[in-house]
Amino acid sequence: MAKRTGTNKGSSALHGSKREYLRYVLSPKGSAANFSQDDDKNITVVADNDFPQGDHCVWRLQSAPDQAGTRLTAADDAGNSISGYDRVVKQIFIPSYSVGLVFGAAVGYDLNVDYCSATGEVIENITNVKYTDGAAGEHAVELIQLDLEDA
Amino acid sequence: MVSRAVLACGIRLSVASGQPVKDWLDQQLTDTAKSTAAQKKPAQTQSVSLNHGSTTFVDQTSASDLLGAALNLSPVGGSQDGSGTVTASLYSIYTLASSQDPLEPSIYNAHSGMRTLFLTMGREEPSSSVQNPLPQGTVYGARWLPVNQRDASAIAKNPAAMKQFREVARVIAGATSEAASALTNLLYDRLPEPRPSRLDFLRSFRTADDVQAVVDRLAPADRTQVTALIDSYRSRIGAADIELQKLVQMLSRRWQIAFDFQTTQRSGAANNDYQLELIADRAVNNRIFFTFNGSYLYSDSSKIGADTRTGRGALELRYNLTHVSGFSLRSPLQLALSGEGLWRQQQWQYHTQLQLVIPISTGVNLPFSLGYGNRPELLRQEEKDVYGKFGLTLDLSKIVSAVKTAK
Repeated sequence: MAKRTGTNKGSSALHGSKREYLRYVLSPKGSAANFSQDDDKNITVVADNDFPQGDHCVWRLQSAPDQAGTRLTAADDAGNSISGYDRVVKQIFIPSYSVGLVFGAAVGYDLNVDYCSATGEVIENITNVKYTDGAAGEHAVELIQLDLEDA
Repeated sequence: MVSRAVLACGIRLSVASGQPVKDWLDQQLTDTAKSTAAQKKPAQTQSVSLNHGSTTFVDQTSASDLLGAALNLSPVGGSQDGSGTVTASLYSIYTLASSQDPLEPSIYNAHSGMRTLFLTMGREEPSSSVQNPLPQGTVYGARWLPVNQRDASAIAKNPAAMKQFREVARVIAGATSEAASALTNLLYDRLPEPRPSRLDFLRSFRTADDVQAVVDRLAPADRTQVTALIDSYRSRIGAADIELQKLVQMLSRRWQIAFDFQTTQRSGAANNDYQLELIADRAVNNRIFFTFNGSYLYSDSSKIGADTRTGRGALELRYNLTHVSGFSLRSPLQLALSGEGLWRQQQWQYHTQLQLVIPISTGVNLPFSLGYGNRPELLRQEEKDVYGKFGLTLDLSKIVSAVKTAK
């Protein structure tokens, strides 16, 4: 049975007007990662096939201002768009983003999520969890819900 | 919050989860959504078949990853001297020598090649034959597993399997996000003014019980909404679990092929036995497992002209009488029917055996076998006989894993 250690605060602010982002780093242990990040509309943000060479899968959930609310996109660690994910969310809504982890070709995962400013400064560590000893067929989810409202 | 119990997906939390909304959702899942496969790959823990006291005469392709021991306590009606073997992978010897945790995933995966070679050592049961008594011999064996389609490395090279794992991850992530947003937006919208910021609201939940307390204060119409979203969440997670079970079971049924060498060395003028063997196995379905052995045995006698050479073929069909949940490391109750044909001294000998393996606890099984076939003694090979045996098998990797999980 997989063992989980570490913490996930489960929620974060994210201000589109300041172009803040969440920086995800997922490190599988074993042969390969089996994961997908999906939002509350069941739209995939990124998945393991977006990182074919990945010992470490690194991506950003990037925010930006939009007339209808906050634009959320998926970007690589250099800020370039990946996976085509693009969504505008009203600021009065609490969107949710979950990383689904499956233990198939992987027996463990390290997941770190930082809430970052546009310049890359870490404002807050949101998630720092480690899964070990995962057996084939187990799965886990790490959830982060967002407060998009500008102060 | 310290050391919550086991979550729905079976992940043990050793520190605070920090996900009260997700924890609350997981508490709504029924037990049926909880099962996933874990360490279910069949591994041989009984003595290798050249040991005359073995409760099985059909060898499986893989032994325990870490260390396995088999004790043949008493052949019914035969000798009272026990026999037994210990099998260890090269990997277990390496990790023992280098003081590394053999169950640490990173180490486990970095040295998967070492788990294709297994070494066996033990003592055989003394022969009870009056005409051809044999002193108790020492059993040595080595096994190489060149084809192992059940290894994680092989799975990672299978695009279809990887896509199915990804789809399961997508469903559980999407279902969780959808349910979490539906729940928290509903709860937030029902807060009286002035309301805190959404972040403060989300972080006001310390545990799943805090979420439940707010849900309990909802109006009946809102409670109905919550019930509906939970039903949807439960249904989707349950369906994803079933798909994951099917996939893991399919992958764990694939071929394994092993080459095996065994020898029994005896003192004095007694024969020394050598066996080369091909072993292949796979599962027919989730409950029926098929194993084939083809082997050549050479018995080296100190007497001139007394050497014997034997060809051997054996088949086994093993049926799981009970189903064990994916998380359990216990083996299911198993019934096995096997047959063996020996071509020795220009004539065939046959044996058939029915075996019942009773799981005692995690990693500990009690095999009973009842057989019928030609007697092994040279002068009585035309006669057929009924025999019975029982033993005790230990799979130390499962025992260690169970102990670690219990901590």
